[in-house]
Amino acid sequence: MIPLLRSEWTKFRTVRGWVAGSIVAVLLTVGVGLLGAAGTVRSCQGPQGDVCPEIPIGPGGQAVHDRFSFYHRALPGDGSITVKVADVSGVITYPPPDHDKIVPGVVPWAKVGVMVKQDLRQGSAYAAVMVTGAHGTRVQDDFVNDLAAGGDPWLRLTRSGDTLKGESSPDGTSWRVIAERRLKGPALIGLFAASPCDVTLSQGALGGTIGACRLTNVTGKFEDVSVEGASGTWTHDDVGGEIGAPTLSVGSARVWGSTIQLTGSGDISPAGMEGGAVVERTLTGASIGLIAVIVVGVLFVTAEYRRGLIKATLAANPGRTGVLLAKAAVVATVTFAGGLVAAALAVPVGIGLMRDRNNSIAPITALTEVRVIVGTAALLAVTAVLALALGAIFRRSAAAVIAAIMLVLLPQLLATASVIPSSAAQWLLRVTPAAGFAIQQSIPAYPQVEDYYIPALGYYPLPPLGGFAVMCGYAAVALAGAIVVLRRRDA
Amino acid sequence: MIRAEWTKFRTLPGLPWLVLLLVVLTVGTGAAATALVPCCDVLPSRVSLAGVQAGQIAAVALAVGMVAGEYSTGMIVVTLLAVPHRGRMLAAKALLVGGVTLAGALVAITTSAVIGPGVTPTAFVGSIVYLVLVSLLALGVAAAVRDTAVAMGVALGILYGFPLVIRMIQDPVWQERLAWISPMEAGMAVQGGIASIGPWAGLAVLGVWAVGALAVGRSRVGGSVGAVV
Repeated sequence: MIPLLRSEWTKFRTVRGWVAGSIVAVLLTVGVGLLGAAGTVRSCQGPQGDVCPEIPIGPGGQAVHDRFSFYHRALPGDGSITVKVADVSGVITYPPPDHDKIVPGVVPWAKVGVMVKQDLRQGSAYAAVMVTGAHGTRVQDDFVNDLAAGGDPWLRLTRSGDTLKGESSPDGTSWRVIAERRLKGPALIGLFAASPCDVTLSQGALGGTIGACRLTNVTGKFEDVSVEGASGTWTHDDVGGEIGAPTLSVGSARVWGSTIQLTGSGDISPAGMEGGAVVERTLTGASIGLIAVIVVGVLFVTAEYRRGLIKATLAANPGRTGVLLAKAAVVATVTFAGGLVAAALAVPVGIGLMRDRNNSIAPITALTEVRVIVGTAALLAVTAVLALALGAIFRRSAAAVIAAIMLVLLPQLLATASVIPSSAAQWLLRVTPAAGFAIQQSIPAYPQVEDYYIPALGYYPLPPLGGFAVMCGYAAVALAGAIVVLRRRDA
Repeated sequence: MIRAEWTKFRTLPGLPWLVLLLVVLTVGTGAAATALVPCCDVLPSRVSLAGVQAGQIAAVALAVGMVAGEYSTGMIVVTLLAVPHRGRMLAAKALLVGGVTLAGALVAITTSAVIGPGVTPTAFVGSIVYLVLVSLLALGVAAAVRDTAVAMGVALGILYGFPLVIRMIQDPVWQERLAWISPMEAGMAVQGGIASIGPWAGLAVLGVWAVGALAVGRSRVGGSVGAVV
């Protein structure tokens, strides 16, 4: 195998066009990626001029939405809060079909309930038990964690030591523990209400999907409110509230006896793609660099056929499987190395460019960043293997290049830049090798947040490694097919 | 001269199949879009003729095959011996490729229009012209780079690259700037929906690309045949 690898590497390295093609792939990936980054400009018109608001960061390091109505007391140590959610109502502004009225209604992820939160700062740690508009009773904490818990109206949060216990009950006497979380130090305890905007998707005239998000609010009526261990007086705050916000989004609390009625708007959730410019925007060039990779991968085989070199190659190494595997190894290694250089260059430089243009960058973990960079290189390498296999199957450049581009690039294009509706686009990105682009997605979709999880906005239907596995599957099948036909056919 | 090119086209394996591929890809994708897109939300022309985005691959392959194919087999030497005038040879090829694509596009677009929810006259004529201009653009590229795979990569990169990048950047000003120089994005404005460019200006952008590619191709075609064969 080693001499085979060495001879294929020598071929690759000495053909000027293949080396040039690999360099072009790197340059395209970096150049187009940086162009995309340079074209990502954010401007915010506010009272202070072009100053964009800071996006809060949650305890897990994600960008988060943290805006809600909070009626609270101080919680220095142990304590608990117990309530019964007697009624949930709300207002939705200008819903479909006519978008002309403000109507009563509760959006699916409107939430009212009890919460213990570290402080009033946006993004501080919390845990909450809540009743939602259409998703039953739930326990959520620290923005990203979400647990379904039936549909009981009685909610309770208890802290003893560092442990918070969330419970629900159908009748206020028999309690069921849903989750336990840790939250240390002095905190606030009380009631909250939040109602994210009403998301509707419509088809654009050019195809694609246009999302709209309209203001809503929610009012929760809490009965039999009892708090233990709290100190100080009840206070109402709109966490993350802005001066000059629309009246409907301003929260309020009304109290009579042990009944409290709390109104609020906003959301407590991971911010998703709204949390800033995403890292993969600096890697858009990969889909263009891919074309150069495909051309090199195809030519690495077909050029041998065209010039008859394949006869010499096979005469020297009659084991045809070995020849093809060596070729695949060489082209994959070269492309991976080039892709790694390109991605490792494009990401930091591109992030710098986007920061200069007033963007905040959606924070991700170092591990995710490594996955996006290495994944992009791997994406290119696997595409090269797929193209090589197609070249060996078709033995003709034109057919192989058409096939590779139709498999890898066309689905991506049709999914994001055509009239095809997003449901069909998602299927395209599940069943074609283009699914592999999912490895570039740095911000996951959260089921507990209503958002436009569509390919056109950068959300792939499969998880990063799942999508990449689909692409690898295609490459493996093509390579196996190529080995079979190469063994059967005359050179 | 055109007859000679026609004979080559007719007898080469693969090339006539590409016309069929053009029709199948265009009609198939258009029909799929028609079936998938809910009625009346999207411009009918865009839906009926969605297949042009896919079918143009075949138009590109056809044009590239006509030129780069000859370089790979050495046939170009014979062609140039018979027709020493490089420009005339390229013109003959352009006429043939344009004509064949026109015929294929006529069938493909008419069928798509019949299947789909409706097509404006502008979109109908414009999409046919679009496919012909795409084939000429690819012909110019192929004459310039002379290698099948590289020519297809360059031509499809020019076509598909812009829309992919445009969708991934989110600044509308940059999107429009890029759309104005993109042969595919501007050219597809004949199907309506891009008010800022307009149908004929969009086709003109594609036309400039095609003429430019042919000019580059003309200056490079047959320049050093010996080195290639």
